[in-house]
Amino acid sequence: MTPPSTPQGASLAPLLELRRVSKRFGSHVAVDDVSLVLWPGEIFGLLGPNGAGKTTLLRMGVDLLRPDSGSVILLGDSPRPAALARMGYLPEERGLPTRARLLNFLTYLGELKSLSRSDSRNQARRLLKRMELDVRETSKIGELSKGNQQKIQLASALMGDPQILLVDEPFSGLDPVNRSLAIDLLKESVAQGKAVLISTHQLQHVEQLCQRLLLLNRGRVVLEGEVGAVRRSHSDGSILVNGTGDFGALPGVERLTRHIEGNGERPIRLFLRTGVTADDLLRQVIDRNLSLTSFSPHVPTLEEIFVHAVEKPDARQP
Amino acid sequence: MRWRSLMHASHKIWAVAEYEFIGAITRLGYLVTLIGMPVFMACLLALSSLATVRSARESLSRTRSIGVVDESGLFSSSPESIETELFPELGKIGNMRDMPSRVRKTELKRFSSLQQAHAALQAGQVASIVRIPADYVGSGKLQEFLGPKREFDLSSGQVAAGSLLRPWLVRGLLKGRIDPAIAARAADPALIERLVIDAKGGVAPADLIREIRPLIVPIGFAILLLLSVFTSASYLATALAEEKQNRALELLLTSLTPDQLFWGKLLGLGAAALLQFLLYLMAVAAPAGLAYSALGLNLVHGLVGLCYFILGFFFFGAVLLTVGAIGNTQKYTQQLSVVCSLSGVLPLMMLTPLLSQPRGVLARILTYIPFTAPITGLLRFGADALPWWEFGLSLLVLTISASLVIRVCARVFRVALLATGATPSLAQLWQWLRTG
Repeated sequence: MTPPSTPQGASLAPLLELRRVSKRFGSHVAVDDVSLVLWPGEIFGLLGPNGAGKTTLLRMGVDLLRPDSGSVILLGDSPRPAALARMGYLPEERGLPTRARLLNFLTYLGELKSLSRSDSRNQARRLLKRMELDVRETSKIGELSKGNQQKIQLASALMGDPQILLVDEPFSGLDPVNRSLAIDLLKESVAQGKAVLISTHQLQHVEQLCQRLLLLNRGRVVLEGEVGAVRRSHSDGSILVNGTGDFGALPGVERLTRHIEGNGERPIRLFLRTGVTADDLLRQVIDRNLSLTSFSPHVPTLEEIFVHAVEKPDARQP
Repeated sequence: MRWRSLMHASHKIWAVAEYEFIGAITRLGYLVTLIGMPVFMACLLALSSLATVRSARESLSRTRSIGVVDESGLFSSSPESIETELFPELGKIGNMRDMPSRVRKTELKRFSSLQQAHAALQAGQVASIVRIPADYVGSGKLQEFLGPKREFDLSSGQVAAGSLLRPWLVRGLLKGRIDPAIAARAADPALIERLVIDAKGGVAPADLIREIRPLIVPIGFAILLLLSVFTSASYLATALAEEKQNRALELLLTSLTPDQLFWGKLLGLGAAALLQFLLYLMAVAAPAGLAYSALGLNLVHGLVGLCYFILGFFFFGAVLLTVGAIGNTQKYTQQLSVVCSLSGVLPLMMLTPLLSQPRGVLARILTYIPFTAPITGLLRFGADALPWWEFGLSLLVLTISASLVIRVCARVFRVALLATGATPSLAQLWQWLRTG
């Protein structure tokens, strides 16, 4: 097991720790010896293909499931009702009581988080205003559009002002405007020193939001660490260049391909011969007077790393 | 610390109970059952009795004709009509009291031959024909001929003309042979006045309402109990199945324990059912008790009903809540709920043996089986056939069973709430029971 890493600059105690947890359902091992630490002020990305064990891990995190082995440490102790009340959870398979009215339902959830009725009602009103649903506070949930119901789901997770948020696919079903609103809400929470654990398939959000990530496949950790470090560690040493000239003729280049960037640019990707470094290659470019407008090491996207790691489960990060 | 966590838990249970209670009493189904059911029953009863009275009145106002072919010649000077008093007991009941006449007049049309009488029957001039043969005195036999189409007679049922003619025949046979007063008495020899001797030795006329009290009081209470318990308990199960199906439960279970959810729902829905029961009691039983003092309804009936209600609700509520937790679809839950509810209704299906022998072996056995105890206990209490010691013992059995069921169900509930996929097998349920 890789020991849980600490984000740079984190000096506070972790909010949530999963220590070598395993869970099986009959003969199926859903989660196998997984550890995870969530620090205050961070957004942690939990990745993995369908059936990787992400939801089971989240459910163990919120004490919906008890691990068969290993332990869950919440706010420095085993999960207790008072500590669990400081968690917010957004399950992947959404469901709300369609007959309930928005304000009443959110107030009820707040009361279950041990808020007084008036505090809970005030907080529910604030959240509804933030979600731009305050004018519909007496509407029934079933009367809302699917997107607005998603917003109520997120508001439900935020009721009680939780210190730890565990959210399963928080952006699915949201239009770009509401997705942006959800991202803002999560960022605001983190800015207040809270921690967010996101399970998602939308890897661009992990790159955009998360400081650290953990990739699960078939219940086991495939890779983990800081997002930037993970990406860099999966670099194959190839170099992306933009310029003119015969880059293929450079002695340090073994082969080249056209690389398509997300922004539509098409730099040349140069694969170096064994023993050749980026500095060596740059020197060769200068020596041969090739025109160069950009020169950068190729860092794979999370999607490339995800696909690679899942297709080759043994390719665990060193 | 322990006190704080207890307060914490009770705060959550209270929040769930209050939310469920308000949710239950404001849903359309509850309001329809609460208001609609008594109104529906009252309308049905009113319409039915109105139709019966109307039909009886119409029937009484019509003169029925019977054709008589007297081949014996014994009844040639007998009266041409018969007057029969119908429903003598009805004069003591409600709107029947206003019926102008309960005396039915039957006209007797004499025919000299059977052929003439047959023609009159086919022409609809008479309802039936009675032939008195020549050897009537020796044989005592009469023949009654009926037409091909006959209406059902609500006022006297399908009474055979021969029976209707019995006093007329007696009077005819004895006329001129004995004292007319004795002849009249022989025709109507038993005008029985029914009297009841009470516990203190006092004598009072028998009262129809008092006589049917052992039937209507327990059945009334049992129906009230069933309506309240099963409408709420079934709602409890289906609502939980819905929450489980749409995953709203996961959201709730991150904020409270399954036990807190279990108790909150049970108490909230129990309170809704209790409200329904009390309102029914006030709307139906109290006015009935006031209107018919002979029913003998008093506070004790209400208290006994309340005891059985509370324990019965906890017992059935816990079972149905678990059914809701186990079921993965609302349809499956509804099917299981019906099976559970049927077990509670079993005593009503065995009403005849229970009420005819309320102290019998069957009644006693059902009083101590938790599924049947609430209704059987109420039936027997209403019939004044449940001694206090049996009542206490039955409540004790129900209390122990309810607490056991709640503990067992809570264990299954804990595990079943988050279980998805196929409906669990018995082996799986056993495993849940052990691990819950």
